[in-house]
Amino acid sequence: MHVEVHEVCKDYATVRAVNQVSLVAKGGEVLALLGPNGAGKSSLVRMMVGLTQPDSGQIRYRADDTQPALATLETTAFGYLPEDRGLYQERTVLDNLRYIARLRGLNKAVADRNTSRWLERFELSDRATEPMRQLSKGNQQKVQLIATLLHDPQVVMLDEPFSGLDPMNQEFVLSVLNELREAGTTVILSAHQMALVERMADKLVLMNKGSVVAQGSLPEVRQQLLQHHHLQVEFAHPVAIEKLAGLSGINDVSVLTDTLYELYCDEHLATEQLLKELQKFAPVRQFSRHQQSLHDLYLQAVRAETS
Amino acid sequence: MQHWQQIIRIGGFEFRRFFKWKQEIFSLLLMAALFGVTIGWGVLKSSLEETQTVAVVAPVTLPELPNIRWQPVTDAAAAQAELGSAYSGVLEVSANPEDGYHAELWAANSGGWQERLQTQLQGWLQQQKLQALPLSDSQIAMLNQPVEVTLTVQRGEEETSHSASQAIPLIILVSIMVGVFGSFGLMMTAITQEKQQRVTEQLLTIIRPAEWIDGKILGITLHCLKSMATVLLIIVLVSTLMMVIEGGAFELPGINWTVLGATTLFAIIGLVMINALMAGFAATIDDPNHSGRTAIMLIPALFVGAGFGVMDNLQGILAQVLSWFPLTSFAVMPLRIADGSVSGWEVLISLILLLATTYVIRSAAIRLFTMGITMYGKEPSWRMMGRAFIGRR
Repeated sequence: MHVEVHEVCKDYATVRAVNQVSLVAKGGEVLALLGPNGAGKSSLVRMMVGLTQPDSGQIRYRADDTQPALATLETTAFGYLPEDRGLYQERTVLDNLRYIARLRGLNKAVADRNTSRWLERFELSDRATEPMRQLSKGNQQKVQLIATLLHDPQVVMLDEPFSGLDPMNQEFVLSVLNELREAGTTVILSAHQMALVERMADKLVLMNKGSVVAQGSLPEVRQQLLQHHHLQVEFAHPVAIEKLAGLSGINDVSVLTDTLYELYCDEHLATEQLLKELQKFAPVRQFSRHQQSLHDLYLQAVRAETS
Repeated sequence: MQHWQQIIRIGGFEFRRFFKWKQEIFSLLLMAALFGVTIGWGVLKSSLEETQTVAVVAPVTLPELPNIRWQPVTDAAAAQAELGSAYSGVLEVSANPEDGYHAELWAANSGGWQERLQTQLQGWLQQQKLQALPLSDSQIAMLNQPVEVTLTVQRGEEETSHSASQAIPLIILVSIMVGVFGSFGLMMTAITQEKQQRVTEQLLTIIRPAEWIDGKILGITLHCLKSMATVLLIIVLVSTLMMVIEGGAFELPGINWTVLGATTLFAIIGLVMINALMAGFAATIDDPNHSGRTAIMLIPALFVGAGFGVMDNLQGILAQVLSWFPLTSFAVMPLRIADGSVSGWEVLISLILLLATTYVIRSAAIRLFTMGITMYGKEPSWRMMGRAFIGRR
């Protein structure tokens, strides 16, 4: 199932929560929405599941590239894990899951079968008859995720699926999401855990103040966010910083140790030429390109947007 | 079909949310015990009361009275010195040819037994006085016979005793009140809990607000009807049981199917209307412990209160108006039907008005519910609620 968002805007009172956002998520892809609190991720997800309507723009769904687009999704076709989530605390795990499965349109036999299968997958079978309130926060979170997946949806939208989970459970959820991707499910999620997202997402959409800052695959996003090349150079003895800053294509220089420097260069600067220039000041012991993490790029981009 | 299936699923879940077997059995036993104790209180009290020893100076032998032991003495003044120790009371009865009898009772402390003794003794001495007069037994019997005023209300071929015509409306009103209070408590709990437990957002992607509220109304109305039926059953069973204990024959009271059918119909529609109103309003309450709006939800109790207000004059113009007015008709019309003071066309008009109002209130409640159910941490203003209620954006 393809999810297409085209130039969507949403205003709340005096705030523009989502501004001209476009994206496409295809079947078997994991698309991650990234951004600080208030970036508009949850507002976008809530529009995608039909809880609110866009003020302008379109959200469409289609089975594949050849099929006509649908304006809405059948409730059986998608699963949604809201950011503000909970289940009936006084009812048992089984009651909660069966109720949601039945509301999703599953008949009793299929509802029971799927509930058992997912409880087993999440290692919660022995807690099935306990009231929700007796489960730990992490286990409640897992039951929530089961409630989202038990009808085997074609599209899964998860708002902050890793929040409240310990590292073990984060890894577990990651493995479940990978299984979904392999099964051809479209997964759209919002998250703050960059390291996890980096490992899993096929597409990233970085948002800030309602707008898309960068989007695409991880290398594409890197490319879009990279304002400077970071090069590290170590000389055999100290070099005056003014000499380094005066070189063509060098925008800024940081001194890391007496002999180690970080150079911020133009994107298209030819590094071989630069190395020759540097060797004129002193023998170069080490010369390398510094790879920034997605986390650093994300922070840089958001700070740049904010300033 | 899918729409109704969803409503039935939600209704079933809502009913089961509040129906717990252990709690039901415990409530039944508790209610039965309370009714039993209330009705059997006199018997219980009498059986547990202590026997009082009363010193007596009398020219005649006094009759035996329950929980009283007579102790004949010759000197009343001397006996009074032992009040509170040997005697609970001292009674001096004197026979005077002109006045008949005179009796004086002294007691150390006041107590309920003294009033009973005075009443019983008075009756007995009155009989002694009559016996002393030159009257035949038939004359005495005639004097003892109280003058009875019998009231029979006759409408068509039906005759209803006055006590029965008073008791049935009271039982109907009490059961409707039980239903309305149940509706207030359950609907409030159901919706504010869902908001606080953050269940709403997930469910709203699966079901429409109209399906959700209709399902809730169905489930909680069924629960209220169950509570009403339980209360009625307990009243009937305990009353019958007490009759048997008091020596009467085991006989279940006769059922007037017209009254029962009409009462059930009005009660169901009335509860649906009240539940719709409660659901819409409860969705706008963020935290029931801190919201100033919770008390507003008690207003439907006033609609039932109107029934209590006119119960003593069900033929009056006020009762007639309230039995047509849709917000009170579900409580007042069954009383008038039970009383027999209503014609068929009145019932029909009242029913149509009640149905139409219920539909309008349900539609308005859906708009309120849709607006309020996803609001967390804040409540809509009265203005917003008013606009939602009348269907303006």
